Amino acid sequence: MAAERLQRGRFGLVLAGLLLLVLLAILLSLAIGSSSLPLGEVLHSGEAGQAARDVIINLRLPRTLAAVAVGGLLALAGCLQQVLLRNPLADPYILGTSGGASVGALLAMLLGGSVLLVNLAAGAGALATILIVFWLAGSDHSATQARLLLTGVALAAFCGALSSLLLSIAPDGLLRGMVFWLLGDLSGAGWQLALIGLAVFLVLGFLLAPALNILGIGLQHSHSLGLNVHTLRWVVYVLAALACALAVTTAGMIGFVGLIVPHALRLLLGQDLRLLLPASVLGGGLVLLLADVLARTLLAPQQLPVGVVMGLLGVPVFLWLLQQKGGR
Amino acid sequence: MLVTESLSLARGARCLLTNLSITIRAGECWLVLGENGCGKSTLLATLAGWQLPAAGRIMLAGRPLDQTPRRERARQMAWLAQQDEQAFPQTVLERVLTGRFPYLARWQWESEADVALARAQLARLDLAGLAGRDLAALSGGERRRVGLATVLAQEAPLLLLDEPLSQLDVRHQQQALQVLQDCVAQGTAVLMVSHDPNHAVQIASHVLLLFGDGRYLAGPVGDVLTAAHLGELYRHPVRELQDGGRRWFMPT
Repeated sequence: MAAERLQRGRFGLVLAGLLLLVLLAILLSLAIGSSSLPLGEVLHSGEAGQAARDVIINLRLPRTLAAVAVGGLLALAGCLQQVLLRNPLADPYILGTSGGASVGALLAMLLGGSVLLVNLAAGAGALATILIVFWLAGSDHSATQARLLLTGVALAAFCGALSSLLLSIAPDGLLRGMVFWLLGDLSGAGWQLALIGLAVFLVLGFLLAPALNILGIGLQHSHSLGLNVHTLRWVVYVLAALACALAVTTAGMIGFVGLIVPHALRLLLGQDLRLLLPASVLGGGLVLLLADVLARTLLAPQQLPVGVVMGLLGVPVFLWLLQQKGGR
Repeated sequence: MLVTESLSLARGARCLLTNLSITIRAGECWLVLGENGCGKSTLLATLAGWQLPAAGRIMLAGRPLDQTPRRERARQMAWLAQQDEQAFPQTVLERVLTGRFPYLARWQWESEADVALARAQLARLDLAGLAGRDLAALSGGERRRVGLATVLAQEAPLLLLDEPLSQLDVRHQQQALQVLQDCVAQGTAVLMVSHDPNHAVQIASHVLLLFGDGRYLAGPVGDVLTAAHLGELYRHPVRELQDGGRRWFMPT
């Protein structure tokens, strides 16, 4: 069942609604934590108010913003990747960008690097895979343009093998940190760069949305309608890969957000990317933020990796949604 | 509208067509005939600028095709490829509206006029009742007609149509032929691939026979479309019948 044609009125309404939900979730995330602080206390003067402000502004706010930014980046990357590969089941990790990031990060951890170094190495690994894919598949001018997908998938498999190798030779003391990184973890994640990057990529993706709507149909149709198919595909690839690289560098390999959020929104809102791209960003931020709130509180004071919560709760919801839609 | 100068096409080492020089003018309807694999689709893809020719030059509206800006080209020429692709669900109306893309500014919603134009194309091809349906729920012939409606919504003065009538039943085939005939009467140039020479008798002003070994035969229907030429083209004897002053071609 395809949704009705996107109209301007619905566009504003959906985005405003999602934005409101994100803001509410941010408030929730600021209010809930391992030490329970009523939000009202922030306004109190005196020592209690100061302590509450410290916790919320220095601990919870950065983590909250990081969750929103990373969720948004992953959903944006997934949405773009699905259009690029013209496959609604593509996820942002399929073309090896995140694999390159994990190899870089694990290597840095193995060598005893600081958090900053681990992040830099992850970013470098991701960029390296982007360049290698571009170098190997960039000259593909064939009609099917299949080389990008095959090159990316092969490279992802290679990075997976390298990561396993690094894990298998790592000393026990480092193993826990490495596994946590692979599962995705928002504690101590920096939000500034991720949020700025998200804003930039979203604007670029949004500007391209009408062209991407056409590209999603087919390459020959796009060509006939005057698009530069070859260039546009690489722009989309680089945009998706950079968004994915930034997300993975910030918070490790958080799974499912990039696949499930755009796909679920497709079912609910239709295919028009003018709405789907910004809605995915807001939806991704919302979902990851809620997952992180649960990760912090379910087994408090112990914290779960947000990637695990995301998978455990996100997948059943997604499957339920799929059943609902398919049954009609 | 469209001029080819010594155009040659090849697939791998095999030469499909050599030195094709034809001129397609406004209000002409060209039918391309030939065996499977003789290069009909390759020719259309090349004329559409999707593939590069092995040799020769294509001029669109007086300008070399490879120097025509893409948007400009899309307003001059619409191409219906042989396979229709579809990765994501999309309604019939949404698909036909994509034909308006070359006329929209970078980030502009389709206007009511665009929607009305798209609906009018759907109505011409007996698709008005399907406007809200998902493309995946349509039959092959219905999807083919949606493809044709999309190309018509592009409002280009030159249409390159790769088997637009395949999979269509008798009534819808005749209806689509009538629609194309109306377009041609209004000055649109059409280059269309078909497997039925009788379509040529019905609407074509010119035919282009591709023999698949480099040779071709091009010219007005009356001169080129003969039982002898078709017999040679299809490597199967073809008979010409007369009925009510009209010519019919039948395999024997």
